[in-house]
Amino acid sequence: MSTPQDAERIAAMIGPLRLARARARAARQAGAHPRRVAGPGAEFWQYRMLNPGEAADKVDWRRSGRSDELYVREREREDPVRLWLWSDASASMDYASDEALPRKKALADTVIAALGLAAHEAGETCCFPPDPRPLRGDTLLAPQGPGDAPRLDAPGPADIVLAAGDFLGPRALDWIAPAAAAGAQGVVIAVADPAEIAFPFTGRVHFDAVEPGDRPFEAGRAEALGETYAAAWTAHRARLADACNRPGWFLVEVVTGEDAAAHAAQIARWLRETA
Amino acid sequence: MGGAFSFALPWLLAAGLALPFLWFLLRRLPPAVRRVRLPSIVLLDNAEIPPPPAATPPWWLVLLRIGIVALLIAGLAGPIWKQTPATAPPARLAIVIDNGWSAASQWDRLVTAASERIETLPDTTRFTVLPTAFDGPVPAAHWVDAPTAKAQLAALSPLPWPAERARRAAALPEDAAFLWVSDGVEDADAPALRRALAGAELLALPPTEPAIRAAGRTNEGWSGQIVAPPGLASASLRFRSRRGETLFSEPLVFDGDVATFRIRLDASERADVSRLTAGSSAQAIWLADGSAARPRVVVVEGPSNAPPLESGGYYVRRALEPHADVRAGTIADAADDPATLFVLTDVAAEPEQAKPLLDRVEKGAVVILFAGPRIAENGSALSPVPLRAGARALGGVLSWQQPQAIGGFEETGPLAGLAIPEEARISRQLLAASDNDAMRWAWLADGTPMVSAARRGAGLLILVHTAADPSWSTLPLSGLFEAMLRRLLPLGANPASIDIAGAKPWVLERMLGARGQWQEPERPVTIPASRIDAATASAATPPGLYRSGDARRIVNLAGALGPRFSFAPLATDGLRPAVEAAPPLDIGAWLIFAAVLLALVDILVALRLRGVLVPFGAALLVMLAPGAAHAADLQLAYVRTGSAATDAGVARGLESLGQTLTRRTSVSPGKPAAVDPARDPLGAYPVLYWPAATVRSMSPAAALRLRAYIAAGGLVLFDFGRPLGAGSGARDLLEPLGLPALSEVGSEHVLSRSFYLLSTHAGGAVWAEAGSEGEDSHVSGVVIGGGDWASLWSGDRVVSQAQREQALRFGVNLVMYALTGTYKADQVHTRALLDRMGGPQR
Repeated sequence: MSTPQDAERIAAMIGPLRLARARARAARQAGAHPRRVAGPGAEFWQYRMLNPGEAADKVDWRRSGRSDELYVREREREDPVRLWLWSDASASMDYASDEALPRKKALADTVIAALGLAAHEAGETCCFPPDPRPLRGDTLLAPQGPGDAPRLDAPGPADIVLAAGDFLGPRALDWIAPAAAAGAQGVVIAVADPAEIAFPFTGRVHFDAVEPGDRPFEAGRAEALGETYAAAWTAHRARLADACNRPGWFLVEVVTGEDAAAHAAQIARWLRETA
Repeated sequence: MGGAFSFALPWLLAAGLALPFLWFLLRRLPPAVRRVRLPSIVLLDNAEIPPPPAATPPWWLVLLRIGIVALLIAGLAGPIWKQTPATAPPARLAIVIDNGWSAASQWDRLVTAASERIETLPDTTRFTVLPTAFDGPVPAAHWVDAPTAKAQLAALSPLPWPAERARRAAALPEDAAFLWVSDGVEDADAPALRRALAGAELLALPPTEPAIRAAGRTNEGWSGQIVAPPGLASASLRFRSRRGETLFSEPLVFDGDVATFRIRLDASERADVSRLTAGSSAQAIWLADGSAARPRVVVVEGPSNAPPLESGGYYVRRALEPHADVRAGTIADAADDPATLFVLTDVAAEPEQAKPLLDRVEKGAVVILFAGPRIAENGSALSPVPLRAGARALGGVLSWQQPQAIGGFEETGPLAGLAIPEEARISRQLLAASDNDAMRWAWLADGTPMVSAARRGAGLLILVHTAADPSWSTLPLSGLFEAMLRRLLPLGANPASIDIAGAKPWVLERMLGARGQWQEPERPVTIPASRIDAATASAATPPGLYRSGDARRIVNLAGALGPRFSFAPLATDGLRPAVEAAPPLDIGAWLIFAAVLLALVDILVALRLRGVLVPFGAALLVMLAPGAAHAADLQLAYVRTGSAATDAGVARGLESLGQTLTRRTSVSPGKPAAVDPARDPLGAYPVLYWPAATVRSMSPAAALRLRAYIAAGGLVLFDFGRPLGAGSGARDLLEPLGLPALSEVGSEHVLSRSFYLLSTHAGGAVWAEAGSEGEDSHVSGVVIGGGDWASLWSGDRVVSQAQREQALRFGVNLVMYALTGTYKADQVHTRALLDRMGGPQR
């Protein structure tokens, strides 16, 4: 399974993805929280003196003509809609229980890259956290995601986070609440392997460490562990649902082996909605 | 039933001492572990993780494995169960075994029977093996244990001469029980041995192969007599050539126990016979004369009209015919014959007459000239010595000398060593004119020559100084006459070797083994020249091929049997049959087999413990589960809408299309099937009708399965019920399928040509995957349109007949497209396509 080609195919299928949901949210919140600072925008904010070393083409010649000083016309800052793309790159994602299955990382990357490409095609700004600089289209095919969780730079109501990972770590969901409080919206794509759901182990099994800090252990009769594990897994899913539902984020649970296109289409539909 | 255990390798049982250590080891070794990675295992709290399992396997598994090793050790140690015989076993058993020629045909069974008898006796019994035929002195008894005795039996082989039972009887050990393993043939020595073995066990297996007791060449072929052992009803006789081919095969008819054969063979085959076989043992093999081929001899008689018994040629022919290929000739044409030996009886050859023959002699031929009245008068150019005219008469009325006996033979000549018959008397002879360098090979009692010879070039002239007919001597009537001619015969092939059959001893070159092996002699055997004629098969003179110089002689086993031999069953008085006991049971193999079975069980248990193997019951259930449902007939399918009325309408439409297909094409679909794409298997349906006007979305699961269906060659017809465009919801519905670019189906698309040639599709534009027009073999997986075809097909929507027909034709084309792909765009139809294109222009 080749991820870039898949991502491009799915992106073509989705078509140009306008982030209507983020725009609507930003528009609703603009009145309540005006920025009142200079920045890139459409509305006039103020004139200021040209600083030494600044490019001459910034000079507003009509205003400067009326005096001896050189003025620069500043506009009120306008928050652009940003799509933050994050795909978990930790060791636990590099896993497939069966040779025929794709790795969790591959599925996560495909979905993220496909949605990023579709949004890029519609002219939206995409970035990899924590770097707020807009990305070019070709860099989108290799989503990056250092760390356990996306670190967002000054999230606002115009920000939408697409985060794909397994969120197995004890603090893997802690970033959602602050981001949501700042007004950002998000989609959490929880990727799981079928073996992680079914726990198909019996007999004497040694569980190796996956992440550097994990503790390997050995089970004499793994089937006896089945119920305990099922309870833990259910609790994990409940935690995910809770963390996403509270701020109104969108949780998509994906199992490797399932069709990435269907899930991507579902997310795209959510992003296009203006609700 | 009593019995006793014994072990072939008892020291191996000491390995059993290691078993407790094995217990210790096995308790220490944990079963193998499966290593896996599972990222989500971090979800488990430390408290929930059970402590590591005890590193000891269950006690019953350890016991099982120790059992396996114990069984292996016991099995390898070779346990043997022996039944105790009913009678007390002897402490020492002497096994007298017949190994003369008559034991050869049953030898393996004799040895096996003796070995089995040894095995039934306890280990303490001592044995000695005493053969009745031997090569040298009578072997003495050496007492050995059972394995050694069995090895000695196996090393023993039958010998190709008669057993010497009397000598054996004279050298039997004292103080022992006896077992006579006999070939069951009575002979002159048998009573002596029987007396000596009185009360012994007897185990007799009579021979199974016949014996050739006499055989010989006749003028036209071979004849002889073969004796069958009791119980043998049929046998066949084969003549084998020097190259081992069977020249001739003849079934033998036994009259009583004797079969007489008289077989005619061509001269060439007669010369090629190397042996006669009626079986594979020595007694059933007759070695033919070893010379390479029968020499060819030309006999030339002087002009005579004497009756046969007074003609020298007759006696010469009678003497030579068994040994040579005899031709009659005249002095004029004899030299043209390819023969190298010429016998002339009283031929007074003139020098010019003798010239061609003398030329042949110069080149290596041999002429034997018998004297006679004509030579006495006229002399002969072929004589090795100048002759005095007239014959010397002895014992006539005018002579005071008596007829002469034969005085002797030259020791270095070819006639050396011949027996001189007392009755032979010579009454007339020719005398040489002078003693030149001619050789004198035989002489009369007074020293006058009887056989002279002289070299001429490469050849030899030989003169017998008396006549070949009985008028001059009684020599032709004696055995010496034939013996002399036989000695002279080989000279024809090699006149240089005059000492050919001289006093040189005969050396055994190849030996005939008792079981028919044609082998090198085991030790050198030589027979003095004087004894070769009397030699019969024995330890001193084994049967086989003897050589002296370049002459070869055969000694056959039949000579030892005698011409009156027949098989007589061995008398058994004073003997008792051998003790019968069940052969010992070898339990070792069964123990090892049980160990292997237990090891298999152990492997299954180990796999089960590791969780690799499903429980047996589950596996059985899987195996016994009924097979998948029968493949249904070809069916069209539609997606269940959930509304009974719509479903019924779609089903009616598809059924109507099915009827049309059945009527017009070779496709005859069954009843249409309603499916749920998210659950039901789709693989069996060539076409899936999707009423998209009602079913406006698909779940991710359905999309996944539909994509697999399309990838496997299925075709989905999405019918939106109204012309496509904004608001039809096509994008929303089709998005999860991830379809490539679509293009409108034109009249050049295969879909428009797969059965009917369609220029328009009823119900407006139809879309299919781009690039599926038929140029390459890509077949579209979806056909999208808004024709509301199901209602058109079923007639639920009232339209014109032409419009309905158009819709049906589209349906037919669609099913054909699904079934045949781009077949209709194949180049094989080029001709029809060209016709079609040219049609309107014509």
